[in-house]
Amino acid sequence: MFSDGPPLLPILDAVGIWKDADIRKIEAARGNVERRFPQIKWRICAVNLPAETSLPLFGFWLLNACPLNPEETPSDRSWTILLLIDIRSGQASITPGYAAESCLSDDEWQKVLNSMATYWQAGKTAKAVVRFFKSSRSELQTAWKRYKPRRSHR
Amino acid sequence: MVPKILTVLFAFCLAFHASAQVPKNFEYGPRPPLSVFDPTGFLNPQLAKSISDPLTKIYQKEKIDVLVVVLTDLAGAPPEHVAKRFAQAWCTANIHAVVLHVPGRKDSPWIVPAGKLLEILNPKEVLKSLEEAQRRAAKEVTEPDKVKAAATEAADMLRYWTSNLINHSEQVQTERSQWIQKATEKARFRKMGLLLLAASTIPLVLGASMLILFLKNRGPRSFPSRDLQPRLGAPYSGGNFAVVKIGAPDL
Amino acid sequence: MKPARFVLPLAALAVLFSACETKKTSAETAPKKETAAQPDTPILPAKKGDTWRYDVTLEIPANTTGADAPEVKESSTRTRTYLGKVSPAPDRPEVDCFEVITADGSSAEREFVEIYNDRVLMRGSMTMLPKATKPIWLDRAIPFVISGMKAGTEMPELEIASGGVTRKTRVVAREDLSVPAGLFPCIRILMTGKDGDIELRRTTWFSPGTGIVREEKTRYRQDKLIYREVQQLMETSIKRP
Repeated sequence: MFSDGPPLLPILDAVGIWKDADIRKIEAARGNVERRFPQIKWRICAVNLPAETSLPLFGFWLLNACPLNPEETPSDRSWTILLLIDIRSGQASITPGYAAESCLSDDEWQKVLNSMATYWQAGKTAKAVVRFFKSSRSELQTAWKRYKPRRSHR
Repeated sequence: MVPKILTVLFAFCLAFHASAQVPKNFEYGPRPPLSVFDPTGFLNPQLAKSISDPLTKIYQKEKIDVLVVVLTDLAGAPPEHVAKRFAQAWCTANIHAVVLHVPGRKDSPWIVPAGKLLEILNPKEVLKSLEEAQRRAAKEVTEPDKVKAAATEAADMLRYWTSNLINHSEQVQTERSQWIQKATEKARFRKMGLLLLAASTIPLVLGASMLILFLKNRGPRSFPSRDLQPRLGAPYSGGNFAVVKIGAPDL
Repeated sequence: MKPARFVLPLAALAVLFSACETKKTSAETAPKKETAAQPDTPILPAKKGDTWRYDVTLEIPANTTGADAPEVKESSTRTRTYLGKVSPAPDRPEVDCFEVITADGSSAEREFVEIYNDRVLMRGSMTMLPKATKPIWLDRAIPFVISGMKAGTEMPELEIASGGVTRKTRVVAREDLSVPAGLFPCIRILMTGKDGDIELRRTTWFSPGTGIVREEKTRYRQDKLIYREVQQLMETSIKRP
């Protein structure tokens, strides 16, 4: 079942929605979050799925079926968070790897996805993804504070 | 009638006051109104007045008392002793002198200064000035002129010494005030310097703290690892329910 | 970070406190500043041609000028005139000069001084009549009167060893003096000293803005008075400020 998938590139623009400049913006925003949270790997996909396709299912399949990249380890994949945007349905979903699951809850991810809506609807699709990364960073920071070891307990 | 009574009363008060000052055993009684005591009339009245008038003016304006005493005999007592008895009886100013003359005495007149201010003066300087003054006065041709010259010398001497002491104390006071002011300013500058130093360390400390905090915050974060439990046979991800409708882009 | 929160307000309080303390201290210890008044200036605003006329009495005891010489008691008048800048000799600079002449014209003397706004310095003198003499010239001017002179002040003592000349000048008092020319506020200066074997005593009443108002000169030799001269100002052309 989980074989023969396409390579999972950091940014996959299957619908040609982003120009080179947009890609650079998205890369910069991604790099910003990755420097703060180097454990977490990010994958962005913009697709045009058939009408009856379930986005979460597609994301689930993509993350598991795509072969590991040459420098990617299984641990990296399990720490990967996939942002999937379907142009046709106008939906966006988050598919986290096993390890990244516990970082944020579904509600928190939904909050992050909702932060994209305004820019996305305005046609500023790259900016929407940048906004996604900013919001993710903020939520992860908050979540991390819950997890960080407390000095007083040492 | 009333002015006459007042005059009598005034004279009585003056006399009472004067007599109250005189020691009981002072044989010459109270001080005369003029600054010249010449019971035998050695000095003619005109000369006595010419001596007394300026001395009275000096006493009124500057409170420097020069008293001229002419006696026929000292009864064997040293001149300084006799002069000092007159001074004790009749002089109350902080600085005063008695010019004592005994007609016929070659070493006369004598100038004998006394008073609280004299105790502050340099005794060698006082003695030197006295000797010069007495020597000059003694060079006058006639004895009355000697007395007048001695009175002038005594008055000049006392006036100079008094003013000199005042100048000196003013100078000391000024120097002291200047010293206090300098010391106060130094202390103030030192205090301000210390405060500035202390104040300048606050932003330094703040800045350093903020820098440390900033550098700490800039560091990478990591979440704790946990045991992974694959689901549905999926090697890397178990899926999720985070889906949101973000709408169609207005391209 | 917590300690820093307290340090800043404490420091501010400390600065405020020290500022208040400093003001108080300054007010307590600040010396009373006396304004430097210059009431004596110009000390001698003489113009060329200004005159001072004095009434002079002279006493010379008997046997002073010679054996059996009679006593001398004379009165005369003396006029002092400001000549302007005059040089006493070809090799000497021009300085302020007063010519002093007796009423009968039998004697004349020149006094050389330096007049500034706030002081008069002595430079020398010279007899013109009955016979002109070589000027007595001081290489260094000696203060005669200085504006603001206070009673109790002593000038530096002058000593010229070669001529046996000594001078000690003291300010005895500041007093008002009444003379025929009027009532004048004066600086009373006492000069004592020696010219060889002659001892001198000179009391000068100098009125700032007017000049010498009265002078009493006595000279002694060998324990005897040989000369006494008293001069009083009768009138002057100088305008008092």
